[in-house]
Amino acid sequence: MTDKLQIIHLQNQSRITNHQIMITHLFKLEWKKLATYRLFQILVALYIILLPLSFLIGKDIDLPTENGDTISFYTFPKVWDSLAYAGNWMSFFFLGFLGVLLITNEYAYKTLRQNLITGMSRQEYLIGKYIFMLSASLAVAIYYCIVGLGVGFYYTDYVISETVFQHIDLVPRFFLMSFAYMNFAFMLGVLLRKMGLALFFYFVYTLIIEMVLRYYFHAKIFGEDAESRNYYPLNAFEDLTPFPITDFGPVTQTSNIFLEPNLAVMLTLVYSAIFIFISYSVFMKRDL
Amino acid sequence: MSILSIQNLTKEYGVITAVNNLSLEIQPGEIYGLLGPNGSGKTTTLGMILGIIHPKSGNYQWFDGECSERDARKRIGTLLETPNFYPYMNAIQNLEIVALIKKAKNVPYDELLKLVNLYHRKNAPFKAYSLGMKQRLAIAAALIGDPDVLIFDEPTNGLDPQGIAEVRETIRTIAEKGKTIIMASHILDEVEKICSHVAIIKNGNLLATGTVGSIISNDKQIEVAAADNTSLMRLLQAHQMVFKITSDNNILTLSTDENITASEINQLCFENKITLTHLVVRKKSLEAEFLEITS
Repeated sequence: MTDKLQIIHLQNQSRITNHQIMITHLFKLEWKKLATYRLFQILVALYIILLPLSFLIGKDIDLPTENGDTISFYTFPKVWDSLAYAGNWMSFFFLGFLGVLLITNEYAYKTLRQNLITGMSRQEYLIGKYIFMLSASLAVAIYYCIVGLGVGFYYTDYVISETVFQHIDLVPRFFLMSFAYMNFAFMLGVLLRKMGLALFFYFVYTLIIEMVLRYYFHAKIFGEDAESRNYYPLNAFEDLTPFPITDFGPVTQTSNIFLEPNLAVMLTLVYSAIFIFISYSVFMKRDL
Repeated sequence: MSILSIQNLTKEYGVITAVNNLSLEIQPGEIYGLLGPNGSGKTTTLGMILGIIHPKSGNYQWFDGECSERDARKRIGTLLETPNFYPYMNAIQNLEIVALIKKAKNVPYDELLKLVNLYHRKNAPFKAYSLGMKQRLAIAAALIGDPDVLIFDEPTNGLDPQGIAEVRETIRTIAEKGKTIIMASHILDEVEKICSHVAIIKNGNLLATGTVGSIISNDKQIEVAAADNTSLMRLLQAHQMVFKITSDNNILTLSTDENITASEINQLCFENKITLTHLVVRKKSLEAEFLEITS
């Protein structure tokens, strides 16, 4: 009996190590494809430089904050909210772009076809892409954490240790937000295959079509104040790390323009699952 | 053991049937030519057996099904249509990607690149390569992991005469190592020179299959001519081992039984007081056979 259990235990263990080997193998492959790609190198460098910069330029803008200055954006715990919002835009552009080129480049070079012919299964190929996207999202979330700590400690005169990690739940949300944008962009890449077309649709859908759907069609059908108009996917992704509006006094108390964080997380998970399902079913069926 | 067995493979694109009910069997060590004009369904067939095109119906099985399809592909080196590589990577980096996918260990990159005559350009990015160099890199990539089977789709397409000769020589060298080779081509001469077996395909239909020898030497062709071709024709038409006579430029071409010899013809004519001015025996070329089968 114990022997049997031991065997099962060993089998499970070897299965786990096999999975680990597969995951590192697929990650290595994706990394090798991109590491020498100049555009990717530029994207990474720009993200590293621009995340703190795009956020710090706000320092010079006068905003009617409660305390009358903008410095509170850079002190604990507020720094987490404001940096997350800047990072939301960064991830929308950079990881969206990366998500699109991750797959459209391989269509263009016909290397997707070649990878499969060389000896990958379609499933393995897709898993590799998702592993890479999750890793990239994790990397930007860690970077968000580093920049947040750096800026926070620099600008906070009297650091109260409880406030440092008060809004730390934004880190996993930052990770989810980055992955969600990338996954959406990746799905468009899978569906449309051409980089230009996919990027065009990514921006047009996010910045125009969803607005029209929410504020015109949805309002017409469900009424002006229906909270459900906030349930659209890209809005949910954005509301994971929303604009830190609570500092702006009167407007904020009454309005329900943002989703509750937990609701945003739930909606994002559901939409991301749907997008993965769409990518998967199209990718598995398609001739290459 | 059979390397590849295809049963009733069919693929339709809208109203066009690209491949129609194709069945083939390929044995170890064969150099199998898929011969057919452009658009006859060769690449579609290869795409299906390599898992990138979904067949409408039919089956195929690699290595008697002893491993998964994905793992079967790891044992196959393929050059399908165009060489597909990452344009910004150099030769070595591109080969490393292939090795990573195939999980091939200790790949002799330098030797492979020397074999295809690319060693001196190994650090140049793929996008800077000429078509011939790209094609040669694809052959090197196909050899990674020492595969049991190699698939070449139009391997000499777009190459200059020297490139064509080099590629053919490389394929022959590989074949001598006892590997099974499947080669699609629309160039008869190429199939005739390289392959041991051939399947002739047109409009997705399998028209003929067998050893190159059997397809070529079923019929023998004898050309004859005499001062008086009319009486010569009358004489030969009566012969039961002559199947067909066509006249062209005052030369009569006879399709005959394999067993008839030139001297028999000569003797027959001489006995009937016809002196031949021309007598040539040739095996029917694959090209003639091909045109006959596909027309």
